[in-house]
Amino acid sequence: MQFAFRDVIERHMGTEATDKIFYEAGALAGKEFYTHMLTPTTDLNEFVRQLQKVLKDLGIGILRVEKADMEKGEIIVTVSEDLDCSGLPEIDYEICIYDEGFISALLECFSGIKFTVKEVDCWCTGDRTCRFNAKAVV
Amino acid sequence: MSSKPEDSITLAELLVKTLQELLASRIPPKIPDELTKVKGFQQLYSTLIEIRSAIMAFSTGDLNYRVSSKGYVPGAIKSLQAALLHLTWQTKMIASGDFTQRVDFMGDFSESFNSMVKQLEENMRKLNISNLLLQDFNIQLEHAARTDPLTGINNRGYFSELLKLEMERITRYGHACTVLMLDIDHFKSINDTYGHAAGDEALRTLTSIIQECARKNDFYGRLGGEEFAITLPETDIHGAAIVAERLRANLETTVIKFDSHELFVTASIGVSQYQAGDTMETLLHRADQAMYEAKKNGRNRVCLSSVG
Repeated sequence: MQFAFRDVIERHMGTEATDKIFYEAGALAGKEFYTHMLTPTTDLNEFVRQLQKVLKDLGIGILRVEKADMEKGEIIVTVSEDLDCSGLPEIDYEICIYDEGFISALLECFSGIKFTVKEVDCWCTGDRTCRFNAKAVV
Repeated sequence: MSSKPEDSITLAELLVKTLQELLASRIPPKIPDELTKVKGFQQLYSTLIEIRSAIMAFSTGDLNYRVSSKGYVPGAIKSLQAALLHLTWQTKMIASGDFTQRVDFMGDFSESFNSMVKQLEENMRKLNISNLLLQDFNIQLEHAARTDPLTGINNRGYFSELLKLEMERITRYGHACTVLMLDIDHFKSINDTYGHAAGDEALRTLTSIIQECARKNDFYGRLGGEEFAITLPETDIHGAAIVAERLRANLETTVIKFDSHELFVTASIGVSQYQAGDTMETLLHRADQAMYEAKKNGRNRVCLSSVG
C-alpha cells in the first residue's frame, strides 16, 4: 500500500517532494514510536537494546549496530528483514525513505541532536540487509 | 562483416581463461583487447574485481571496505560484513561491561560466543564479590593494625602516628599541647593475685574512664602492658592537670567487678607540655619521667613535668 501511495504521489508531486513526504512521515512515526514504545534513557546500549527488542517483537526488522560514535555523531545501522522493503522486487535505487525518517527521529529523540539518515544499501538493490548511515546535523 | 563460429569459440575460451585467471591469480589479469569489445564485460569485470578486493579485505581484517556493487553476491558479502561489524560493536559493548549482548546470526559461533559472555559475566560477578570481600578485609586489617585487641583503642604504633601529626601541627601553629602518661599501680600483683583475666578487666575499666574523660579532639592509646598515653591538643599543663586528676579520682573510686571479687585500682599519671624544640620522643619522655616521679612519691597521684 505504501508503494502504491508513493507511485501516485510521485506522479503528482515529483520524486524529490515525494521523498520529503515519506521522510517526514517516517520521522513523525519514529517520534511517536519513541514516545510510546521505548523507555527514555541516556545510555546508548540500553536504547539500542530496547529498540532491537521492540522492532523484532513487532516484526518491523532486525536492527544491528555496525558503528556508533555519539561524540562524532556518526552511526551506522543495518536492518534485516525490513518490513518496509523486504520481499519487494529488485530495482536500481534504495527505497526505504520512510525508514530513513523513522531512524532519524528515533536518534533525535534519544540524543536531543538532529540527525540526517541515508540508506546506502537496500534489499531492493539486491542486498540482504538495509544499511543506514546517520550523521548528526552540526 | 559476420563472425565465424570458430571466432566465437575462441572468444568464449578467452573469456573463460580471463575469468579463471581473475579467480586464481594474485594479480588480476589485464582485460584482453578482444574482450573490451564484448558488451557488458568491463562492468562484469569491475564487479568481480570489487568482490575479489572485498573478500581479500575481510580476510585480512579490514571490515570497512566499501562494496558499492549491487546484486545477490555483493549483497551476501555485505550481509557478512554487516554481521562482522555488528559483532565488533557487540564485543566493544561487552568490553565496556554490557553483558546482555548476545549473538544470534552466526550459527555455532553464536552459541560459543554467548557461552563465553555468560562465563565472563559470571567471572566478573565473582571478581566483584572477591573485591568487596578484599576491601572489607583490608579495612579490618587496617583496623587491626591500628588497634589494641584487648581494649579496642589505638595501639602504640597508631598513637605515635597521630602524635607525630599533632607535633607537626603544633610546630606550625604554635598551639599548646600536653601529653598524659598513665600507669596502673601494682598491676603485677593484681595479675598474680586474681589472674590475668582480672588484670585485663582493670585495663578495660581504665580505658572506659579515659574514653569518658576525653574530649572529641583528644586521642589516646595503650602503649603496652598497663601503660597508656593521652594527648590533649589545645590544652596547657594546668588544664591537663585537671583532666589528669579527674581521671585518677574516677579510677580510684571505680569498682572493678571480676567473678565474685570487687577490686579497686589506682594509677600514677605524668603530664608534660609541648615546648619549642620538642620532638615526640622528648615530649613523651618528660611525661614518662613525671609519671615515674608520681610512682616514686607514693603512687595514685598526678605529677607535672616542669615547663621551661
